[in-house]
Amino acid sequence: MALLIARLIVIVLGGYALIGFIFAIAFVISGVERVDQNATGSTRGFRLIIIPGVAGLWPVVLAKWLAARRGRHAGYIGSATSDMSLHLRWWLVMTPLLILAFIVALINR
Amino acid sequence: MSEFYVGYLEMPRGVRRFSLGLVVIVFSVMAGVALLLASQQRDPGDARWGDEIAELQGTLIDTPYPALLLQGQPQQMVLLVSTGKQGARERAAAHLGRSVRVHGTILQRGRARLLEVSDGVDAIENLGATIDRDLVIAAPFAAVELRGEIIDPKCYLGAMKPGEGKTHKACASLCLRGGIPPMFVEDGKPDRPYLLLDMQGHALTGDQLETIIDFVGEAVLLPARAGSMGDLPTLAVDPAVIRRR
Amino acid sequence: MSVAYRTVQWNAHKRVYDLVIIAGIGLYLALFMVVGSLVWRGDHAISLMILLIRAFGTCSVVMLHLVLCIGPLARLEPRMAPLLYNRRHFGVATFLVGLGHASLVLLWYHGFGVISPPVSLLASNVQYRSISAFPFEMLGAIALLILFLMAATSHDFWLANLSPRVWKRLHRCVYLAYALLVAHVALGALQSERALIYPTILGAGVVLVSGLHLAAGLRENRRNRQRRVEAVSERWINACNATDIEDGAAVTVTLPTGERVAVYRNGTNLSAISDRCAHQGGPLGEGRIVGGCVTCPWHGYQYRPEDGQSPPPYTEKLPTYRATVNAGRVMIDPLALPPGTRVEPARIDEVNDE
Repeated sequence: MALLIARLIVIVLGGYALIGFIFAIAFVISGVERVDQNATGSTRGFRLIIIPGVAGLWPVVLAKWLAARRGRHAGYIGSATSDMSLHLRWWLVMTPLLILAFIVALINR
Repeated sequence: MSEFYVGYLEMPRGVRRFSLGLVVIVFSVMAGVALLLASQQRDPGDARWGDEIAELQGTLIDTPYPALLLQGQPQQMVLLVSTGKQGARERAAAHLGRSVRVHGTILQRGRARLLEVSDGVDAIENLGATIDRDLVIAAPFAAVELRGEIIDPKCYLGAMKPGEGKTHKACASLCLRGGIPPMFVEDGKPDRPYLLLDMQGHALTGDQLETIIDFVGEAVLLPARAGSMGDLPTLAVDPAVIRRR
Repeated sequence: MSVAYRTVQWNAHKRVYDLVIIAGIGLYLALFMVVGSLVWRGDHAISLMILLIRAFGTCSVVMLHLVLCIGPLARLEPRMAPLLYNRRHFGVATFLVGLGHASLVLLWYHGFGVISPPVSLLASNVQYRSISAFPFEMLGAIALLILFLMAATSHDFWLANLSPRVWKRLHRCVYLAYALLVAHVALGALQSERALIYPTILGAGVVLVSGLHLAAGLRENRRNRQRRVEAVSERWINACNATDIEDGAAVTVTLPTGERVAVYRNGTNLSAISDRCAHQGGPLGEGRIVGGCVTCPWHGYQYRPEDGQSPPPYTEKLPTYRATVNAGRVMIDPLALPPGTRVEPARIDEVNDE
């Protein structure tokens, strides 16, 4: 059963990556300028370096490519304080969890 | 006003000195950590992977597991495995009960040893005669409960060092799945692994082997009946009663 | 940025930074291998491959700790800014070293078997309900996947196209990756290695990283409260004394809405812009005026103080705020204007009776 599920996961992930890789090749050749005008006249190295990301996030990039005609608005990064307190809250929760997990793992060895 | 660093402009002098100091500190920390971690690794044991191809002569059997019964007294049994993470059952099948000469690599730890049969059909030479030699079995008698770890003997006896423990668990389970016979090492007796059998003294297979695989590489408590086959100590186990410690 | 993308926007500092990273990795790996093969020798020698797996694995864990310390350290001590400037390359290097570890593990522990290595990785251990037997490999694999997504999207192309907000969120997943990695080590290597030094070092690392993040977060929180300013009328908020602001620098205030505003002084001109850099959210109020432009302390992104726009050819824009000086006090209209709106700077000697 575990083997069957594992094979299935490998096939799904492998398929996702394969589609992503093929898509990425096509995208860096002809799609990237349409999504981002700054890519016009960009170097070959730039196109190579974004391939892993395009392959990994291809559904997102595909959506951008399809929406490219409607124009893009990157938007502002957002207000400052909410972000910092999010960071603080994350670490307030995570620190005891990390220490707890660490101790549990050590007790069990 | 204090100095202000901008990545694409020249670095202010104070920042430069501070950065140099930082690099020295970070490098020292990395070197210190590398030194501490590398020097405190656990002893991988003295198992040895033979340097050259050896030849062993004897009678080929496959019950409970593929092995070679050497001539001479007391009877010595050398387990056989293939290259990679695979057992030798299929390769032994054509020569069962025959007197053979097997070419391969000896893996050894203390008195325990194992022969990795070389690749190729001529690695097992049929010497013609069928010798009727029975495996000397001391029937499982003593009930024991041992603390230790289930291992795959190929890695443990020298293919990987160390070839036991949690980080090796996945590899060991792959070995056992591939047909390498499961063995058990009692705490404090690393050089005397026991061959694991089912309660009838047969090879562990199917669901029983799957349960054994669940526990491989972990510290376990193993109720069993101790016995021997040739010079190999054995444990007859019911996998259902194995417990984690 | 709005110039044609290049592979890497190299400059002298980034080159030095990258050389230091490579030298550090080389030093660590070489030391680990040499010491590891000297400590256990002859019949007791550790397999070369296993030594390599351990060297790469521990190296990437050490690197992730270092890279995670950079953010809070730069908040606590401005002279750490050069560490932050090229942090992305550090992150990518951490991923690559981790990938080296994972590839060797996949080959050595999951290869040569009757099932394919990736299937073996997923299926060889499924004791998810046990603690001591937990399939720690999966924790490492997920952490590596997160680091991959971060490394793969580290080019500014992704910042612009995923939007800064999404990009920042994605890259904040590094905290999750860190937690997974700590668990990966605690449930993996620490279960087999008995020497006390291993849990001690990892524990110290966890305390260091968590402690720095908590310290920086708490300080930021305190500062936000201290900088909180109240309204004096329906329209204006009393920010600070005009003379409190050093020339070429800023005072940061927190509006009742929670937004932070940087009030910059450039000669006798005062301008109020959002404190948050459009690039990665750097604290602009801790920057300086360089060449007439507000310059972010993190990556040197620049904005004209009067309209919050990056000078051409760049296209970044910040929200701006109306400001005026009244009896030596700087007053701000808390209503953020759309990014890039030009506001006539207030003059420090100006008298305004509004």
